[in-house]
Amino acid sequence: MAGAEEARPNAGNWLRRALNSPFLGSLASFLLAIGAAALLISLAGFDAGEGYSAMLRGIFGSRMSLSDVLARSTPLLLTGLAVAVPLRAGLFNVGAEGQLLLGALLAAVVGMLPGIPAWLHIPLTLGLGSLAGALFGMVPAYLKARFRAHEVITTIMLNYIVTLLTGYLVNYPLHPPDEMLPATEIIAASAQLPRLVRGSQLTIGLFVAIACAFVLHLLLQRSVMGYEIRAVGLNAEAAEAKGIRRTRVWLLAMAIGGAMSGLAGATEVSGVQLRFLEGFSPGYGFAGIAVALMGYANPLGVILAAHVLGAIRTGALTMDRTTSIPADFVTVIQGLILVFLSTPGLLRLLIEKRSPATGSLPIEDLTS
Amino acid sequence: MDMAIRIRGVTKRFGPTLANDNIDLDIRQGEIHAILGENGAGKSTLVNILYGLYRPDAGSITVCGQPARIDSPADAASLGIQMVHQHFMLAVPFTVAENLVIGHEPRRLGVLLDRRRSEEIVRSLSQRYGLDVDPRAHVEDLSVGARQRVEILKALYRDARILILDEPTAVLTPPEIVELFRIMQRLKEEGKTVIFITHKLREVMSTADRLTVLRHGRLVGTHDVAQLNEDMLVEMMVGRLVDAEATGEARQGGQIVLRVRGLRAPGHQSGVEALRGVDLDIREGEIMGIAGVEGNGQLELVEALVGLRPVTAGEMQLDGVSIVGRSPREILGRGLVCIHEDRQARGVIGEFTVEENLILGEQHKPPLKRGFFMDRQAIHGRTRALIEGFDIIPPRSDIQARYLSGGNQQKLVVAREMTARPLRLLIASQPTRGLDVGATEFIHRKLRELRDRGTAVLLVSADLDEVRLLSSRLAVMFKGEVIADRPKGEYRDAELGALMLRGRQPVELASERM
Amino acid sequence: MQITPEQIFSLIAAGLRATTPIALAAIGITLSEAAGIIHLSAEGVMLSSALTAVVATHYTGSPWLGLLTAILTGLLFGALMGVTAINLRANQIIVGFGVNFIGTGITPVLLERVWGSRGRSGAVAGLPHLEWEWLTKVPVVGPILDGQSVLFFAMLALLAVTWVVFHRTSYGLRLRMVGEHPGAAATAGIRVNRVRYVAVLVGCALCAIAGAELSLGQILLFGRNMTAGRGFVAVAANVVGGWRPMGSFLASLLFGLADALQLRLQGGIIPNHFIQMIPYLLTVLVVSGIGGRRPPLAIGTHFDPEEK
Repeated sequence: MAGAEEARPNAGNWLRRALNSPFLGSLASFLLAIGAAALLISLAGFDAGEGYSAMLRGIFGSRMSLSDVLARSTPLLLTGLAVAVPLRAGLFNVGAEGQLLLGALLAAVVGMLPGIPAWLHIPLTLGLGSLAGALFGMVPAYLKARFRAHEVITTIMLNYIVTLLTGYLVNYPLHPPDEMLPATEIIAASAQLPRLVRGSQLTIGLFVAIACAFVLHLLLQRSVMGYEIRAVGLNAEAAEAKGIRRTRVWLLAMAIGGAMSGLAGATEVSGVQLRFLEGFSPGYGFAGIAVALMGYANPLGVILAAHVLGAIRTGALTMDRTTSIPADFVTVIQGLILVFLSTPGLLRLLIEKRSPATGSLPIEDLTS
Repeated sequence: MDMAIRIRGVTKRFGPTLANDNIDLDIRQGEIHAILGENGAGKSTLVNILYGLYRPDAGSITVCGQPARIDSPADAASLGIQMVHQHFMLAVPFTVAENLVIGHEPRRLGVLLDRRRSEEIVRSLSQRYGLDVDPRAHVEDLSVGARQRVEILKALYRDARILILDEPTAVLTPPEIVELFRIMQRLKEEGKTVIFITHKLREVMSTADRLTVLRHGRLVGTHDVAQLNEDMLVEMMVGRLVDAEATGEARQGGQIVLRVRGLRAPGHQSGVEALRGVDLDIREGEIMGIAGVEGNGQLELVEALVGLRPVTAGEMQLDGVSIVGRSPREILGRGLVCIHEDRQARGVIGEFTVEENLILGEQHKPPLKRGFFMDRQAIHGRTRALIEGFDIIPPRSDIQARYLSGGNQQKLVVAREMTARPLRLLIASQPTRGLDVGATEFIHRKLRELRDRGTAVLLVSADLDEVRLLSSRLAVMFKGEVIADRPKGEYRDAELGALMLRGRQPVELASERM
Repeated sequence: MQITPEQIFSLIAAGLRATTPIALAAIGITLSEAAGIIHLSAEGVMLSSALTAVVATHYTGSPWLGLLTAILTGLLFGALMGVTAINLRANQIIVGFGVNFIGTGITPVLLERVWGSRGRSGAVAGLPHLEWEWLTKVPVVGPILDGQSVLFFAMLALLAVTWVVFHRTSYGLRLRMVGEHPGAAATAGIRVNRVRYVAVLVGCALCAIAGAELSLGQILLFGRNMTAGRGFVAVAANVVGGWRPMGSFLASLLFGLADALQLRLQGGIIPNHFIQMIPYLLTVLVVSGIGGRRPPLAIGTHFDPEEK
């Protein structure tokens, strides 16, 4: 129940309010995760300091490393958006991985088509890849609207179904005869995304991704569609009472989310892989969950979170090369970030125990 | 000891509201004692204190002669006090026997659940108290009346000596109500003490030994039922009605905006009708108030009008167009706007700013929408005007609505609904519940202004004073029908209360007896 | 193409081998979810326990100590999930994914520490298998049961015990009621959160045993990412099985047999990819209301004993 805000200018009140800021909450979770991970790695007998300094070298060490970070952040930004937008509507899109694969496959197929000029081929590839993701993303939304099927379960299962489906396609019908790897042909040159930095994996995909983030931010804040998405996510009952149909909003939100994942897959294929290779995604879709939560489901926050995660993932490769700590370790940091972010204000809870609550407290709990 | 429970000086305050004000009450051993009062009179608070859910701010309680400290339901249980809530605590997918024995299960070999014994326990309690239930039935298949019997059995299984029933008849069909009274008599025969809360006069007169009337948190009186008649009760509950304020409210309305004929709608159980043929006309420029004790169909009428409850028979016409069977969105679009009872659930989106809340429902229409985006200038202008016009404090459009006090949140909702377009009929359902005097008066003023501008207003409120104050016409609802519909001034003093509480005219006017 | 009885028995035997880890995990998930705690972390728990089992066996030489270590790992994760879900009121779905990430990430690290390898561990002693001479002579049952891991029989025993506890004991009744209507259980005097804690601890322990079966029971080593999604197949089995122990087992059996089948059908008429899709497709169907039960009503919700 809301009560009138009483002005109690004591330290506890200020601290509580600061801790409820989304940015600080994310930052705190991130730092705690780094710290806890350092503890774990030390317990396992490795040198945490050595590991982290190798990571930093990998991120800031050379000019190339900056390009690597940006290149690696691009798909994370898109999958982060893919999870963030549905989250604003109150939906958990765990299916970004599957949507990404579908978009990637379609991009590969379209990319292989000959005789299309580049100015058309690239938008076509990216566009159709997004479309595939969008349509597929609407499936769990439809199942939820019609059958009340919980979207977490359906999206997890659909991920596996799509992984198997694309695996099949890439190993049989779409498999070129002389190819050893489970992959399709290389796409046409006209479909390949121009590189931003020679010799790196950084493509214009980065700009596309950032543009998407800004567009979606504007959409959520300024458009009617965005307003309705946010209203349904915060209080679907009140929204319905004033004429907003939640099922329609769900379909829309998942279409947008799916489109972003599809685009992530398409940009990876068109820019980095240049074909569909089975297993090419190192869990971008799932990492998107961490990105979205770290960015508090705000597209601008997602930009920052994607780069932070992209940075540590890049740094992890250097750590892997130069120390004995495997790159997989960064997944532990990701997991710890999720665990800390999942608790609605762990720190706030500790503070609360000591000073009594004054009326209502802001509970920035997107995840409940 | 003759006294099962002795309550002395119990007081309980919730924020600004004094729910129980220095209550002294004795409950005799082995009696059926009814606690009567309007909504908000403090009945639930009092029994929740007895059951350990609330702790009184002052006062003492003695149970069977011993001073008692009841800090939790477990404490109450150890004193033999058990409560059957209005909302049952039954796990629906399980059987009656399972629900009954949970927590004190009879066992075989120490761990295995002894189903046969559980069923026997149910049967023997059933027989002893005359409560008919099948131990093997799944609760989800049971009628509401049957579920209530299970709840009572649960209490008895836990060695209840004092049973508190909270509004037990609110959800029952008439035959089930008769059955419940028989059960209460049986419990009394078995030496139990029964306390039940109700606001229905008839029940009290037919079952209770003694009754206590609460009003506005105070105890008005405790009497033997045998010494009372219904009219005396009406007066105790509602007070003298002579002081109807003359605020010149009686005005003639204009054209009929809403016409309802023979409206029937189902209630919460199959076979129960909540609306049994409602006839109502609401005109432009008038406030039609629905007077009636809560539970006589007012809520269901509002739900039916806005399209949230299906209608089984009858007609509803808004400006001559039928709205039966239409979606809430369509009805809203035709100008039937509602201030819902539960603003937290349906009215306000807490994490949205004041501004964002104010445009809810209008966001997709020009002038607020311009092309694909929303027109910020137009929105800001509207927000400023509404914040000023409705005196929302603090007067800031960018703070989240959840930081507003209850009164200001309600003003926000009222501001939004009153400026919705089109607006032909505004339904205000419990518009000032939980608000302080200032906010209440403000909203009353706004409702009058709306009426003066020619909009039709339907006021549904459990606060009889409010309804009497604001309405130009008063309709009385009783058991799903409108039994009276007249301009306010045409009701005689005690008539209104009698109609509300008994459904008919008083036999002799209490005021004339004095 | 001739299909010999030997091939069928061999298929069933393989199916049972595949079923064992899935069923163990699925039953664990059932216990946890029946009490109301969403359990999506089976993958991470299984993988971590598979490794710790091998590590312990490597150092002590005893696969039984390895199994014990696996169980302890499971209990550790169970405690983490319990504390976050119950005390800290965390979102259980996110915690589940978090644990999966932690498990997937920490295992290569440990692998590197102990064996200096990123791919697989060294070979270790394994858990015993059923190898009775006379059994191979018994028709039908013989070839099927011969060579099955001791954990296969443990799984059957655990199934029986779990079934009895779930459906026939007072404890099981309390556990189920806590997941469906914690309020009703609480007013009956049951300590809701304590029941949930126990459920999630036991559930994670079972997932851990499943992990030990994968490493110590079958391959006798640990391979990177060796769970390969089985944790989520177990989640699927629980859903398709209707949140009941027997149902989870039967669904696991179905999935195990399908898994064995698709291995043998490589390059056959129906591509094995599609057979592998069966568990996931079935789950989507069940959750869309086509057959099967609904989840416990209070699943994923927090219970506050102080709340009135």
